[in-house]
Amino acid sequence: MEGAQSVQPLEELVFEQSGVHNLKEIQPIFSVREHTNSVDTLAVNPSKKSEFITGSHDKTMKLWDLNKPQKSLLTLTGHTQGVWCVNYHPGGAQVVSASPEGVAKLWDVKAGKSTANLAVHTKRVYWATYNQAGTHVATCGSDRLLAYWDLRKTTAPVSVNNQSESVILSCDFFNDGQYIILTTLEGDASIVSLQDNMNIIKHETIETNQRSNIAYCSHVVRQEEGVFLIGSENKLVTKYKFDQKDLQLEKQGFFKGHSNSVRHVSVSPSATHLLSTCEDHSLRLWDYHSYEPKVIFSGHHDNVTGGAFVDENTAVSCSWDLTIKIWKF
Amino acid sequence: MEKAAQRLETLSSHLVPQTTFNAGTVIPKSDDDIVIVAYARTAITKAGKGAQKDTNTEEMLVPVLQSVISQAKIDPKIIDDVCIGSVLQNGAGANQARMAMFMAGIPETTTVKAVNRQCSSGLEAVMEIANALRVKQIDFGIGGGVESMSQASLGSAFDPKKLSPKVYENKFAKDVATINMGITSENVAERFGIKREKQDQMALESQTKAVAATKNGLLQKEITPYKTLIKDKDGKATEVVVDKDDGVRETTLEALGKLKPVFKKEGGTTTPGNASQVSDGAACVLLTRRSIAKKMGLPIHGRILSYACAGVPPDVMGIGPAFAIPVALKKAGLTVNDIDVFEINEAFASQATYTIEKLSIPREKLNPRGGAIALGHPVGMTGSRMIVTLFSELHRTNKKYGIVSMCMGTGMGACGVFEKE
Repeated sequence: MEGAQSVQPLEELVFEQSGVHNLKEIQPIFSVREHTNSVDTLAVNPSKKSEFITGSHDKTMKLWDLNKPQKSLLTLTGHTQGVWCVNYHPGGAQVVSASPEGVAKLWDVKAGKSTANLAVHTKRVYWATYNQAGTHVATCGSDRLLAYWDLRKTTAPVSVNNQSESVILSCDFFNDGQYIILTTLEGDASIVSLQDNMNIIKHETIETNQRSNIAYCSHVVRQEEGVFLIGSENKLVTKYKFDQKDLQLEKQGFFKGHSNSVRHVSVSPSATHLLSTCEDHSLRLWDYHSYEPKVIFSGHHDNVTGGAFVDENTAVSCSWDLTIKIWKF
Repeated sequence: MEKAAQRLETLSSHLVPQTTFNAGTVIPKSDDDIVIVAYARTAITKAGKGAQKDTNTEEMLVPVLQSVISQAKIDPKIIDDVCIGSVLQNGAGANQARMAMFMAGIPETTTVKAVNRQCSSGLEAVMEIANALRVKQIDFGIGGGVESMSQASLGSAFDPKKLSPKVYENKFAKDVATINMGITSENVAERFGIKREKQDQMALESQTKAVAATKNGLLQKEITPYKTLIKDKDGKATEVVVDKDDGVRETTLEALGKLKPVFKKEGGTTTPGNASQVSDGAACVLLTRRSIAKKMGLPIHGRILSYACAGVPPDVMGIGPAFAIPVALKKAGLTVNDIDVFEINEAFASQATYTIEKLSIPREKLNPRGGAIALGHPVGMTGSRMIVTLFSELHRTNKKYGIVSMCMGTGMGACGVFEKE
């Protein structure tokens, strides 16, 4: 791919009309409403792509089969408040959930039961995720802590970073599991080094020309070394590259087109496309390399909080409109 | 001797205060009068922030439709027609009105229609029902209005880019297409010399009256409470009771003076403080003819005396009421001096001030419980909401005559004249 796209100063950002005539708009092929309150998170089983889990403000998670989406397979209860984040273990048999209740939980998916509590946070837990090896979990939240857990001993975290000055909304492991990216309510993106005593070794404030720029989500790109994406209130998905050798952080470009805060971001299996979900009630499919918007997914009528690729041509999404939708493109 | 006694009687009659000052007469009561037998409104809440921000219009209408039916203790199947005014919804919300009707327990045999005469829609809807009653097309009807400005903005009415280019060749048509409501307020302020201080003064009075009406529980009594869902900033939906006009707040001239003009940055006078608030809400009125109300023993709150609309240039649409009010009063056989309560919509303090000054309307009789600046102006709801407020106040003070009037975007004014019994 060509070198880094030159970064425009944000003052010049204008809603681009060019290319809009190439933009396709699609409707969902299926929609189901079963959760009784806003749906906040969704994750597809990496080992079995026809299976996915959703988490909701109704305090439950639901397990779904894409081939029989009319009704969920299982409802997982246990949280005393909403489920704000769910992610699969790479093996696909376990998930981790995060809740404003103040804990993250590990679950045996098939049994539909919680197997452990990850309890260290004193306030809302916003995000929980596994490293690629599936040996460790990171959790983060309102108490500004990032906790690093060993799955063999869940009674206490291995280490905790308390250097963030702001509420941590998301976190993700880099491929080798040695670094963790975290994003905050104030628009910071920080990289924590596990080798360096769990210290923040790199920090960047995401650009905006507004007073507030909540950095809602982060996603480390599995297919490209050191690359990660951040979705934020500035309506962009920004792509960064972190070079572990010289500890340099470089902004590579951004995906521009949404008209509200970006809530979730993921990349297709072959890294051809990027899928973003947004408070503007839509999802967008982009060309991952050229930053070009390709398809707008219209159908939700509230904040789209989660979205994931099932394969290169299928995606599933969830929203505060209480529905889960399946899309083909 | 007789002649002197006669002269004395004639002279003394001149000293007795007259109930109407003009030469015209209010038509005497008759069985053909269109009477109001029930009225109801939801609370008015801030668009995007208040308790109704996630509530659809078809939901908002249900509690008020149910309320007027239960107030009058009628079987809903006797309602012939329902007319709901709404400005920002597609097709004036005709489908939503039908759905709301069903959800309120009104049977499919009752018909429904939607009307859009901009900000007078809630009043226009009531008058449409009144007119149908008058010619005996129907015997029982509900007129009302609803708006969710949380869900649809003033700018959503039409896309200026999609209009015919010929629009721009006609002065008035072009004004409709290009001038927003705020600029019409600035035009009125400039053309008729309504200074910033006067506008802030009206805003202060509106809030002060509304604060007092809140403290005395008067606004509360007008409201039909109901439960709805509201999503917090994290997305969690919880049930809330909608029972308070949330736009009302204490203010001072100083605080109002600090606000910056929003529509015309340089030399503008219209600020968020002296303009109506963007809000959500629904209201409705149950009407019939006096003959039917008497036969059924229904409570008669009052009757409709007249209704008039007047057209004015779109770029100064705010002056509309100053033209509609005299026409409606004349048709009612009344003058400004006869009216006890003037409910005049405060779309902007500029145009409301212009109206009361031009017609010499006494300030103390204007919007005694506060107006749209303090309460909010859910555009489709307002016309019917002001009828609820008007009659509540006429009942409380045991006064007789009132008007409901407003300006409308695109250049109109409307006025309905009412008599309480």
